[in-house]
Amino acid sequence: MLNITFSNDPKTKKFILSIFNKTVNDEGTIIEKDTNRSVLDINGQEITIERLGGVSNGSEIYVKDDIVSLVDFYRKKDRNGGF
Amino acid sequence: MADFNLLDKLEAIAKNCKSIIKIGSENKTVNNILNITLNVSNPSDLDKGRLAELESTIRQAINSGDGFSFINEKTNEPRQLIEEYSKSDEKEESREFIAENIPPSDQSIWYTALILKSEFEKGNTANVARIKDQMIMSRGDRGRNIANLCSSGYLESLIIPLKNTVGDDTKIFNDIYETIVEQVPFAIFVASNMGEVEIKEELLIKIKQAKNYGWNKVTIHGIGEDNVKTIQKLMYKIQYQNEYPEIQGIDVDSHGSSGKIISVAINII
Repeated sequence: MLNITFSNDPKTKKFILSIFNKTVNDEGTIIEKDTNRSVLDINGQEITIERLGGVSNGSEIYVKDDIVSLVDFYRKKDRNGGF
Repeated sequence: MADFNLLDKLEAIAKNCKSIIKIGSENKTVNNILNITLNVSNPSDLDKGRLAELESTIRQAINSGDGFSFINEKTNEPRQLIEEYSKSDEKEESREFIAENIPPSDQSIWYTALILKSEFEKGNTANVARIKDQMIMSRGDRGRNIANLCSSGYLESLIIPLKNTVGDDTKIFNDIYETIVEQVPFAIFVASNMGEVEIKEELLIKIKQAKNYGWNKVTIHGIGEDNVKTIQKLMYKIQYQNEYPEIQGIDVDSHGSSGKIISVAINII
């Protein structure tokens, strides 16, 4: 198991995205490098690099950085994990 | 099957790329978990040449099927709040109610609202402001309404009793619930930018809405000394100026520490 805590600066976030073969378009939205298709977060919404909270395994789950998205993520990940 | 070699390799790279990676304290050899922090914003000249190898090794590690998690350090504080709250036994009945009865698309925002309420009760005002802002950013007016409803105890005083009243009729419950969270027809939550004029305008709208939905009162909630004073002044004027024939009476519940919280129930005909 690999846990990486990354700093919230654009260079590091772009580096993380490149690991997953993702990049950003002119609006800062995260897209697939190969197809330019938008990457969707855990709620099926587009996600910008500015709001990137994390990426987790399970078909690469992208999570925004706000507390509601994080609660959503932990609930879905742990099947209501503690709630 | 875990790939020990990849984590070992990554650990070795990390030891040589100290301007980019720091290794966590957890013992990898015992748990087969490698915790690292990553910051490539300002690598040393030597470490710049190692970025490609690092990227390739991390990619191999995540493709090994042994699990991975990449977390923005910015989320450390909210994650800690979530973790602490989820382990506590606060509001267990409310949490169960949310899981069983609130529409799934709203459940996470209600849980967040419970954390907000808990932080408010602990007096952690910085967290309260941050959480509420993020609820609004995430879900707009619906997020704001749920934050306000939960903070004022409407989950326990209104929504849970509503479910008990309608029983198994999910459609009726969901219809009324939707009206409550979208319009909040029975309450005004006074924000710091609202003066007497704005509260009066809002009150007129709410009285009309409440009558349409058959509610017999509108409650004005205020938090903070300035808001409490504004509400008190306005209530004094309303009581003695008879401007609103629909208003039958006013019950003031001023509580909290040092008069910083107020709820005023305005009974309407």
